Amino acid sequence: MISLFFKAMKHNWSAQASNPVNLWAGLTTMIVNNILFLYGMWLMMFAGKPQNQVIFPYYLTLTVLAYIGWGTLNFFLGGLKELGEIIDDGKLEPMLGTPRHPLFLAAISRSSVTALGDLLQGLFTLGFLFWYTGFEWALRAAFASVIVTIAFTAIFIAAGTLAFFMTRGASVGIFIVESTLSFTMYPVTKILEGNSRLILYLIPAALTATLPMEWIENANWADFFIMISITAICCVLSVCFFNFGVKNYRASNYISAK
Amino acid sequence: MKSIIAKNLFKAYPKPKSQEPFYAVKDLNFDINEGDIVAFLGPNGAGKSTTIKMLCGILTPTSGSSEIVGKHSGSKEANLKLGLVFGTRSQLYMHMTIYENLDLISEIYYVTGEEKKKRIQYLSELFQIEHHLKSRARTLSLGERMRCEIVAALIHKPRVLLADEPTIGLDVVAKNKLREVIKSWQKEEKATLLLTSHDLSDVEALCHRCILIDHGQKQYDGTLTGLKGDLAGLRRIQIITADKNKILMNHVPLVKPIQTGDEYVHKYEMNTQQIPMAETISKLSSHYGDSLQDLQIFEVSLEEVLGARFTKMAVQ
Amino acid sequence: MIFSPSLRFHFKNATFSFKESWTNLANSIVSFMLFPVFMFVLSKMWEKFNGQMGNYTYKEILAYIGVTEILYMTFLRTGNVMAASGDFSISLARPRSWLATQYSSLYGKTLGARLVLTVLLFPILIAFGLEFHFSLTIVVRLMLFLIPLGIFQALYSLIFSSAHVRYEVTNYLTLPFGKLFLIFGGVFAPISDFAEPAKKILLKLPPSDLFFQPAYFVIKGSFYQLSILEWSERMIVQLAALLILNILFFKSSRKHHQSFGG
Repeated sequence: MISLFFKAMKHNWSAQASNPVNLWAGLTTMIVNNILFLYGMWLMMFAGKPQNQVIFPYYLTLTVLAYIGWGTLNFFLGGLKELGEIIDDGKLEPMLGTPRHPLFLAAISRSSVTALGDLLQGLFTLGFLFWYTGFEWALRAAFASVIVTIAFTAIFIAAGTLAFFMTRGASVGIFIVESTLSFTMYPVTKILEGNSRLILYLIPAALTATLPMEWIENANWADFFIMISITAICCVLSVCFFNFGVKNYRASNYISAK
Repeated sequence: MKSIIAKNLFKAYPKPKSQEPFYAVKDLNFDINEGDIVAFLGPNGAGKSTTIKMLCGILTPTSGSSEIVGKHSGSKEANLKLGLVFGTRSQLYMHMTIYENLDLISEIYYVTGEEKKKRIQYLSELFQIEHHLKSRARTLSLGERMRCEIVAALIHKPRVLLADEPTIGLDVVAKNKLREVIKSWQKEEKATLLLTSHDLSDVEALCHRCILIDHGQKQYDGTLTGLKGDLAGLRRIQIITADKNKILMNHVPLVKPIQTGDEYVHKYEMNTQQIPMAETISKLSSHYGDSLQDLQIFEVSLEEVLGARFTKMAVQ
Repeated sequence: MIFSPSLRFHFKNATFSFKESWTNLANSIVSFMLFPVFMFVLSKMWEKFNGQMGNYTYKEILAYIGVTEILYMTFLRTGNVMAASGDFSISLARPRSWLATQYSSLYGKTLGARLVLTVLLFPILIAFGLEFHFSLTIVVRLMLFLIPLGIFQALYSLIFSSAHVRYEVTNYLTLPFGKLFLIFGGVFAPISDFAEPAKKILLKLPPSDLFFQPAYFVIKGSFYQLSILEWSERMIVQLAALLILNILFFKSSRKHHQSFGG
């Protein structure tokens, strides 16, 4: 499996590198896109508002989690974001007839150019975080980024699997994953109080923002174990959901399954 | 050993509660020996693709079972012995070169190192794609891509190749080339080939045996010659006469004249099982005498045979 | 009139695209299930970061974000842009203008999608505790803007579609370009709450005319520091610029395509 993964990465990126104009355009525009977004958020929340500065490190940390998690996943397993499309277009079918798990084959079938821009941006922000917040906070952010990557994996798989059960499930899935990314980048846990905090645990951003940030801020073992265990459970559940989707598809065929 | 076994295969698709389920495949039974090339034929909606998908594990049967080289369909062991080609669905990664595709697909099937290199070289030469190895899949023509698809399906030396419409969309030259290379490969490796195609010249060129399916049930399983059944003896005779005033030969009951609209070209239909060919030619020769310029004899085509069968099946 | 059959065709094309959003309403609703969550979260963010400025009540800002999200979620959708450029080759062999056909299609799609969301907005605002009359006013005012704003959305998308025919890298540009409107259009928070000099600059830019000003009008009943005539003049200038850009990009792409193929 490992050798297949590295081979896929090598060949996907060889294909990207064969068109350098496209590669650089993709990377540059994604970096510009992200800078614009971060600038806009900063403009809205912090520019000329000294009373909000206390939330700035929180905002930076979320940026690290979002970009590293999202960028890593799309760079290494770019097919997962497009899982819904792969199912909808019938490209998953031939994968079902091979001796490998179709989810793995779908995941390695693509690698995103623009994701490298996200990943680099996340790493750069992490570097800045080490300077701005200090070593311990930034180290927890770095570790939490790994967990967030796994969390995004679970969300991508679950969202993509919807294509087995809904017409235009692919576009619904894409909307869910992109919304999760957006929510991850908003400093929501600092905004919501009382009962309204409940929503933070009900949307997918619970895995990618709420739980990791609670551990990073509180730095206690309880939050750590909650974050790890819930992420792991969600990952397992999402793969089970995918397997259920495949079983359903095999039993009743694509058209009837919807 | 049997390469492919289908035992009491059923495939039902669910319908709204008030309706009976729709059976795409109903109690299908057949087996194919190692090294056979078999055509799997039927009209549109007969259940061919559903059957192929059940054999390779993409779909699970509602009941019944199937095996590939003694292994349960859909199992990892079965998939390792199976190659798949879908004419309407590419398995290649369009953004990669052909070599990169073959390299990755080898890895999927656990073919690595020297064995992989030898296999790619051998198949590239056999299927004449050596000069395409460095080209990106999306830059190739359909014919070139289909040969690459088949190479990709054979990279792991499968014992069985399931080909669903492999020549669809190809021109005459590309089809002939593909048939040639498939024949060479099959002769070399003695693998089993199950082929579905709407192009009957593929069937005639490659297959010895044919399984005919309609409404999910097997209608015929035997040789191509046997498929013709009653039509095996049917012949059409075309006469070119120099005398435009020559009338058609009407007096021989078992030799039926066919109107052509051309005064110089006369056609007749007869069955060698009812009247010997020698007698027919003798009578025609007597009738036309010196005005007989040319005589051609045609067998009934496979298209016609299948067309007649499909029509009969539809009526039933 | 000589243009009537053409206009009839394009109207029909737009209607067909418009109906697309309504043919699978269940899917559209599921797709936008997170819409009220966005509204809630962003309004809470505004309350935390900008609420002290006192320019809006919480309910007003909830409605504002609902409106801007509707406009932004249906703005410059990459899928629609790419689909339009995909039809280019075959359109050259048809007796219809590709530009007009794609424009009517994009316009219909945008209007259909925005109308679905606007209809959904009403019960969402009620659920958030806004008064019936206020919610109804918001929805009615927004509906008045849908037709003119749809024109601009379609024109922006069409520029990218034309450019994509010639330059493949354009598909990477839709995202950052759309982000410009997200940031500078006041989608997350009203531009009036931004600090100077950003506020002054942003109010002069086209994104504010497409997002902030209409949303402000919807909740307050007038434009921000702008009369209706002034806003209309700015929109006409923007429209002229978009039409010229569309024609330029289309002609360039068509010439290139016909010379060198797709």
